[in-house]
Amino acid sequence: MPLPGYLPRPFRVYVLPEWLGNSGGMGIAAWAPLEVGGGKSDNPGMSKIGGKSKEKKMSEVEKLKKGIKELQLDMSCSFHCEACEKFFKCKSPEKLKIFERRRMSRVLKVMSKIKYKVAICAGKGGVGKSLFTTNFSTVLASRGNRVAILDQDLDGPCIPRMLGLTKEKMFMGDYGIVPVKGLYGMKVVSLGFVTTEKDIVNWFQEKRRNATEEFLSHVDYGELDFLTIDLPPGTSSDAVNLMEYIPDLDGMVVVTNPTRISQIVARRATVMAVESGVNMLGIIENMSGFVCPECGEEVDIMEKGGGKVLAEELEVPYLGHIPLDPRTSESSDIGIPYVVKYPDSPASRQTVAITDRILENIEKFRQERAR
Amino acid sequence: MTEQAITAFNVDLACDMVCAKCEKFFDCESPSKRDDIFIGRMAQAQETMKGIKHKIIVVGGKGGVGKTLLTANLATALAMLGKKVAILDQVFDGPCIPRMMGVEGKGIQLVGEKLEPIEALLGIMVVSMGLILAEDDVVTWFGDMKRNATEEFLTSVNYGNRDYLIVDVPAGTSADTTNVLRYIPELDGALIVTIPSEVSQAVAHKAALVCAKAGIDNYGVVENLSGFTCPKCHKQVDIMQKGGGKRLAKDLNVPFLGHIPMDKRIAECSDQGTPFVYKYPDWEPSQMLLNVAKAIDEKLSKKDFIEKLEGDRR
Repeated sequence: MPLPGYLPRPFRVYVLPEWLGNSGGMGIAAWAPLEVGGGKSDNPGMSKIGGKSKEKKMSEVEKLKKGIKELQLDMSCSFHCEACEKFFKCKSPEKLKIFERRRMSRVLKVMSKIKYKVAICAGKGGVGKSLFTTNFSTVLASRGNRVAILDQDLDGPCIPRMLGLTKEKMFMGDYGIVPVKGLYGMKVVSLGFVTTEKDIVNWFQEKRRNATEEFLSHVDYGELDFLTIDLPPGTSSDAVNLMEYIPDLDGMVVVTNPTRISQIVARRATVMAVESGVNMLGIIENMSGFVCPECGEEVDIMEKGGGKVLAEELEVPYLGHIPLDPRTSESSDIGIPYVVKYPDSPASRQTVAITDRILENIEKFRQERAR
Repeated sequence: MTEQAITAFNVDLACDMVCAKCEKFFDCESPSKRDDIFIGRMAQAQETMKGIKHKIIVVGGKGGVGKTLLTANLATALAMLGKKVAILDQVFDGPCIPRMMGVEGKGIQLVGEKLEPIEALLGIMVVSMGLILAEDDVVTWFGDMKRNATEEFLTSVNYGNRDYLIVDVPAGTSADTTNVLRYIPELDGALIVTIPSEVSQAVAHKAALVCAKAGIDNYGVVENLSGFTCPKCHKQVDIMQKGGGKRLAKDLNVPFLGHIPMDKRIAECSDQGTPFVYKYPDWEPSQMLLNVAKAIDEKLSKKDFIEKLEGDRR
């Protein structure tokens, strides 16, 4: 396609007056004209994590035909590392200094009393992050571990409802915020205890980071064996904030659905974790298969096996699948985890097995690190 | 020390007079925020959006309830009624619209100064981050970058003349949703999607409240993943209870529009890239969506008519 009389303007530069006054950073929003190299088919290197795409040299017009590959809205460095979205890509030694600052060092101090820290992430919403977090923690707590759940979902916290703690409130104690105690003495921290049902949380980046900081540094967790963290959907601020603030996170578990469409999103979440240097403990396939309670036959509502394929593709461990069950949803609405209410159901048995596998993987990573 | 329940979380920041990125935009009563709408990027967005007659937003609050599914199918239903439709996918982290509309792998092109949307079936125009990113690219943008991307999608895309723009927003009630509400002038209405389980009602309610705060009409509630008919014994099983959507509609005092059942066909259609409304037009949920589309169209054409009358009178 010839482009008569058209020469691409390489960058479109916007300098909004608002950026000049703020945080010292000057903003540049630009369409990076085109990074060359297409999807998987003509560039096999792209499909692997960390694999670098070969750059072909092309004329500007040819580049235009290829289409836009990147939306660049970058801003220059303002040396405000804890608020930076490129924290994990940045190689400047400056960034490590944030751990010496007051609030960060407090987070490190609180976190050092906790033996194992596991985050549950998915990228996509509604795949069962909160459900798995609740049941995973319940399994751990029922074995006599001291467990705390941190609900990082600020917009729509569900953990209080799933544990039947909707009416509880958090209190200010001598050593910080006192978490609510649930089943088996599990400590639960969630914004759901602070806001009422009708309150809308409409926070942007800075406030979210402050809330995360607050939850990590000013909560009286005490000595703990496990801290499980439930992340909201998405791969942006909340997930990145958490990984930044807990540098010794033991690992991340990714939950996904069997459908192919949710693999697109789960894939991004996995890549994000791996690129940030967090251990991938594995992928779980939730809502996988359904046994009809009327006739007892197994039906696949969504296709099956998507989680396993994704795990193999990205070379991360596959932890297992949890079947769809009406009792799962029922028990979350009542507020008792299904592993307690229906310990013999297939979902519970799978959850226990997955918990064991996660613990195994944590130990494996610890040994590797020790070496 | 007396024990006192914590009822608020004060992480507030003072006003810096930058209304374009303030999270309390809809709460604020300062007259200076009006100025912001008429200058700068917001004005540009208004200019670009002029060619679009009606704009509808699909919200759910909770993730995975079927916002994207409803967006794709409502757009298709409207297109099947002969309307010119565009879809704007505001999900930056994990965009699914390209796969659902069967345009995955195509790249958005820059023509002149503007981005050219990708055309899917029935002439539906699709704008999505998924048409820009490669499979393994991860978006980890914070507030400002996301707002910039929203701005770009609203100001620099060549939508042309369209009857409808359907906007799909990500889960949550914060930045992404508010940005859209703020930047798209004269949004006509919102559709709320929810699933039957109790857990998701509270979150959907919050999303509806956000829209109400921005002064947008609420067209009603659709209940997704509602009931499942076993293909072997043909009995209905409620995997996630029932009636949550109806209760929510009653709470919000808006109409309840209908159910979309849990069905293998839906997952299949989404994976193959053909919306189920198009593939199975006679199926019950498709009929429901077509009726919703008709009702919305009727309502909005009436609104147009009244506005025109008022304009003539002046």
